[in-house]
Amino acid sequence: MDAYDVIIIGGGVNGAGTARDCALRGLKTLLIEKKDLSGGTTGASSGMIHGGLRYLLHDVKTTETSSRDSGYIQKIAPFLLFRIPFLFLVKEKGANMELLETFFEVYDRYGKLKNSKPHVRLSHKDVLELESGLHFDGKGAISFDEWGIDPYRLCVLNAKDAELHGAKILLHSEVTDFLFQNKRITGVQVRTADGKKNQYLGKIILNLAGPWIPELCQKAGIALKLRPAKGVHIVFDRRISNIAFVTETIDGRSVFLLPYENTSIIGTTDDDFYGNPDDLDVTQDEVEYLMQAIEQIFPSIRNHRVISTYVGIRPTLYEWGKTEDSLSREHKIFDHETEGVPGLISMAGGKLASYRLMCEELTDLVCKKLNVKKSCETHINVLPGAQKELSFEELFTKAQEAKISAYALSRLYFRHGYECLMILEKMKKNPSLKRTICTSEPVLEAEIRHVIENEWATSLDDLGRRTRLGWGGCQGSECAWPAALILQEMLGIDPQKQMDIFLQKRWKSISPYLYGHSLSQEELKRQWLL
Amino acid sequence: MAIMNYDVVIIGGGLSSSMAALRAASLGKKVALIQKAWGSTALGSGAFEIASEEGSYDIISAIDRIKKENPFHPYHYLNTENISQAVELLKKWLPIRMQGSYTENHLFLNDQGKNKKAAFALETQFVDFKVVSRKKILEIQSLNFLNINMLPQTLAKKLDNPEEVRKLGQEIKSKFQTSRYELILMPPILGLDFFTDMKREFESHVGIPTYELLGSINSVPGIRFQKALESAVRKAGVTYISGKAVSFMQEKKKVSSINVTSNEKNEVIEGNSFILATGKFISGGLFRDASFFKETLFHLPLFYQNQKINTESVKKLLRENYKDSQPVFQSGVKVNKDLVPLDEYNEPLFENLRACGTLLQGFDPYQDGTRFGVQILSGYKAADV
Amino acid sequence: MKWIYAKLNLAFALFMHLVWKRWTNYRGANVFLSLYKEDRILHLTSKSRQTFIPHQNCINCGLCVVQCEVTSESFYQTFMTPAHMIFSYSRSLPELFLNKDFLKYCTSCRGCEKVCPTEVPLTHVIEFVREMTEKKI
Repeated sequence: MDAYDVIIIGGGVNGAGTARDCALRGLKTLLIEKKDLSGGTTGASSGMIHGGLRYLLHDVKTTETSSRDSGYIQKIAPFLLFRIPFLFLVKEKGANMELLETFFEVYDRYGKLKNSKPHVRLSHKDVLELESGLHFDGKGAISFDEWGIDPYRLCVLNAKDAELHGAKILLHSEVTDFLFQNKRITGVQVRTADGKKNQYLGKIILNLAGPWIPELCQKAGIALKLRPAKGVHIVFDRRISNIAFVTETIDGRSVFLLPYENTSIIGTTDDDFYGNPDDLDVTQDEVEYLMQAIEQIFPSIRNHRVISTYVGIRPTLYEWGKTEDSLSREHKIFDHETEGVPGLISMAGGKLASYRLMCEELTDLVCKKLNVKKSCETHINVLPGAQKELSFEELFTKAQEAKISAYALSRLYFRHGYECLMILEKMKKNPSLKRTICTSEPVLEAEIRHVIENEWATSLDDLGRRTRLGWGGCQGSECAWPAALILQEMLGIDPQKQMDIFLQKRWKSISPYLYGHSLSQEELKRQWLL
Repeated sequence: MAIMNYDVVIIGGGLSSSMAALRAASLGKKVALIQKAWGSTALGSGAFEIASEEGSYDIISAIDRIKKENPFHPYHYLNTENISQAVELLKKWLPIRMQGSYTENHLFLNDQGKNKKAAFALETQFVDFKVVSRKKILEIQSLNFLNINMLPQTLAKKLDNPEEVRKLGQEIKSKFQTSRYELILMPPILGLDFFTDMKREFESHVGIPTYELLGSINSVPGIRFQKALESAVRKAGVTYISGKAVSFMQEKKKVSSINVTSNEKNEVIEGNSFILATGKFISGGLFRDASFFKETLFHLPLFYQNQKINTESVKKLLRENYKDSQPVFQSGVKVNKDLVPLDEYNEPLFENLRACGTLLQGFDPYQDGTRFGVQILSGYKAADV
Repeated sequence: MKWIYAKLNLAFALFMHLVWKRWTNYRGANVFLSLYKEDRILHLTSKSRQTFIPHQNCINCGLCVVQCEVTSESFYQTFMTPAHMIFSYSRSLPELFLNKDFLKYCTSCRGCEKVCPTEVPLTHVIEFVREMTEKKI
């Protein structure tokens, strides 16, 4: 039986981030995930590293720490982030622009920490000049910016770095039970994907399973209550605009339309969720609720092409008597020693933007318990791929040299950072790996082989999370089959079975809002793949 | 603005409209065919399905079973006994050969390794696994091992050149010991416009009979077939009008003319009767925008199992399981036995308009294996009445 | 306590703002665009906005590829295909300029448009990308 210092349950960004932190501090770490990295809440987030703008009103310190941490994340994975300029639209004619501008001036002070641009005050005319698609007759707007990130890549890179520093990553393995010794939890029982049962011993077990935290706690005889909330996003096929907008829904919540990588997304809903987090559905109502809100400011939105929807569960902390939206986004660490179950610690709540900080706090606690003196380095040590930055111009030259599309290379760089040169090297050695598998993102064969070899990808879905294969406009019509063949070649998996699972998943994600040429796309897909 | 007058005006450029055009022309009519672009016919696999059922290859019994199981299937009002006449007419004009029979299915293999039952296939793809054993066949599903980094369409175009075919043949020959085999199955890429010649050319280099698999993704045979159809229709004396039919004029309950626009000009096409064969969503015959389902030219009402669905939400027309027959793809125009589109009260909408092809309600063209049968039978019949 | 500090902080900032506002330059659309130059945050003009929606009609059926005269073997890596251009390379506005090396191959023959089932204005998209590429940033 293998023994570890720390066993982490849950392969979301918190799990992967904590694994990395623990590994960097020299702890013998094991990460266990029942499905795939970032397959749950992390993957369903809006993918934003924001600086805590709204905290300026009541908690300046939080804004400062959020902004500082946003700066750290930029430092450790600069390639993974992209700037999203926002326009804060001032709709009321009588609004006091001076007050608002002051607010953003204060935010600018923290903006320096996260490498943001200063705010710009825009008149009504300026706003329409910048985005003629808006329906806007308000007073003006103020711009600010936040950073977008690919949460899947962030999670995978954290796990990769953890592994580089000695952690063990165990995917597709579910924790079925805890092992006890004199009321102390000393390990876990794990069932792997092929049904084998293994046991692992750990001095400390961290329950970072997000929405599955209560279920796991129950197995340890602890009642931990969360207030899970469901969040839905809608994805459009391209960047509708380069600028993000925030608007209000019918019940006064804020939702946004945001350029995200090479798509646009609308998000998000926030509704109490009582069901099983393994079985999530996007309803038509939820989509309609979001569309109606965006339609208020962007009337042509329904003519744009929706390519998918996604849904996740926020593991929000339990509070009675509040609406979902006003629930605190704070995180909390539950040391179950206080409940008489030493050896198990859970952490719930929080947001993607502060994942690193949360992981640091948790690892500090772990180190204190294990008497390890080393302090956190996750904000200093860079993630794999951040050894060196490449500019657009350098990418352009490199693409020309390698005779591949510069756009494909820039997407590759965005996902893999400096490691894209490794993949490029592969292509130079074997030009057939330049084959474009997924046209829409685009994803070249070399990248697919790279993630299968180095990033634990074992299915079409895993490939999607790591490379966005099949996530573009055609939702896999063209790429899924060739990619399944590569999986078969490298791992010996039945491609037809892969296809069935993949097509079913994609079908589920598009069916809440299938119209326009997405319907033609589905017709084509059926003709080709059925 | 030029005005032209025809006996029959057909809107659509795919299989069923070509069938209708050939039939109308054979009856001595003056025919015009309005083609906007290519559609799902050009995306086909090279095999043509009439009907199939599990456990049997008999087409006639499969048709009966489909009629029994699906009360809305077009086969109920199409005279399935006409299928031989329709196929023969099509074969007569096609510059390429289709092989097969209309009573018994054959078993083909596609480039994804899936078995497909179909009545006909293009000549270069006709290998019936019912009778041919797979033992001595060299199956090449993809040419990636040759480092050919090209889309199938581009490759096929390149292989319209005998010199390139020779090179490919020699590479294949040296890569596999082809003499061990009796037959080679290639992906369908051996030539685009001259594919029968190129097949022969290839065979002469590898020394054994060579056939092609059915196509799927980026399928070349669909394009070959589309081009062949176009030349057949032209040869039959039908006037091709390229452009998009955007609107129509009516007199009482009759369509009198169609307005066609293209980059170059606008035209008004007058006719005595009109045949609508614009297909489903890919080719734009049907469209679902944010609020309505519509038939894009005549704004005909649309139906699923005789229920009007123009304002129905899409979600209601989707089944959870992807592989199930999806109502949204079964929906279409409701017609009477003469293929005249009906409204929800079963009243004909336009006396001289007929609809045919995949536009019709009652079958999922990519799932229930009756697409070719419905297309040619309805095209044939639409021009017949 | 935190709350009071936050409000005081804002109040003080307001005072400073009123004093200094006359000298601040951060006003107007052009300033915004020049600030985000490095991120290539281009905006769509109202003219482009009007014709932008059909750009997304493409379903990647690949029929245009056969029609395209410049998508031959030797160009595959550099020009790719009209479908690639429409379906993929034109999706991300900040990265449009990366396509500049192979845009020059398109001869605007409109062969692709003639067969496109979903009526994508292919030549228009290419012109649009060309225009965005030439924008000096």
